[in-house]
Amino acid sequence: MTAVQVGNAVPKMSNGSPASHIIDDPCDGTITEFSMAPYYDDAEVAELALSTNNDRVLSMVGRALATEDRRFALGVRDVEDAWWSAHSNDPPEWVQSDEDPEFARVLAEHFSSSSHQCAVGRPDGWSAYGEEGD
Amino acid sequence: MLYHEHYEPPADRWLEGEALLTNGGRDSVHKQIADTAAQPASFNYVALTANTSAASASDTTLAGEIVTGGGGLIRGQGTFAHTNGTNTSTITKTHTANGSDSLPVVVHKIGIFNASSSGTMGFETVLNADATLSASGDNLTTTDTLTAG
Repeated sequence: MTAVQVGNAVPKMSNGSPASHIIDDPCDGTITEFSMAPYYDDAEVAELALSTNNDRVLSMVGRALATEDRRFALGVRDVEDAWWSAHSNDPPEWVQSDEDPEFARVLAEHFSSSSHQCAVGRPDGWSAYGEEGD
Repeated sequence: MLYHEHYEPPADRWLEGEALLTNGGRDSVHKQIADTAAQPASFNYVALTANTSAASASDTTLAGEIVTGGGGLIRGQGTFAHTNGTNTSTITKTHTANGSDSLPVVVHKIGIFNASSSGTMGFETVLNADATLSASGDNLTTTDTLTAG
């Protein structure tokens, strides 16, 4: 199981409201931890899924990925879906994966835009809420 | 308090459905939290069905579960995520239909299990909008949110 850590500056609670107890804390934010599904980097299944356009979001993910990164399309789709539905109201601040640094890079690029830079690698001093050093 | 809700954005929509923690799932959660004996496996396998019956806490299987051998719509392990300091975690799964699947199929309900076959069905969710998969390559991404505390 490939683990991915994501810096979350604006986490949210189950009702969709911002997790103010974390956001108002002097720390940077918290960490969302992903354990990726086995297919997250399956090139064959990714190409099959990208061969149709029934899911507009996946199609957009596929168009944005470099050819050599298209194998990560389903992994990016899963993180995108989970992130916005239940974990945060803002794009990730950083992404790290010791097991798959390439996937971390692809995720960081996916969540970066002209107005937001998502970094690769956990910055010094950034810890999970409630963790020592928080 | 522990409950379960469903989120599914196929294409450009955000859909939600009312999910149900089954009796078996409730027992397993208690054992996972505190049992001193061997604990039940985690619930992260997602199954699909076209069956249109209502979800029930007493259900132990997903009626009409898609089990086509070699198909892409069969039960499979999803992506787990949790944000430290919050009361939610998610299971996200993208099913991709392939040439072995019997299509078209209209997915109406999903089940979350703790094994790739058999096992305990911990959650059952009726989608609030059916998802139609018509051709090989068509895919469906579902995210279930588990809330505790």
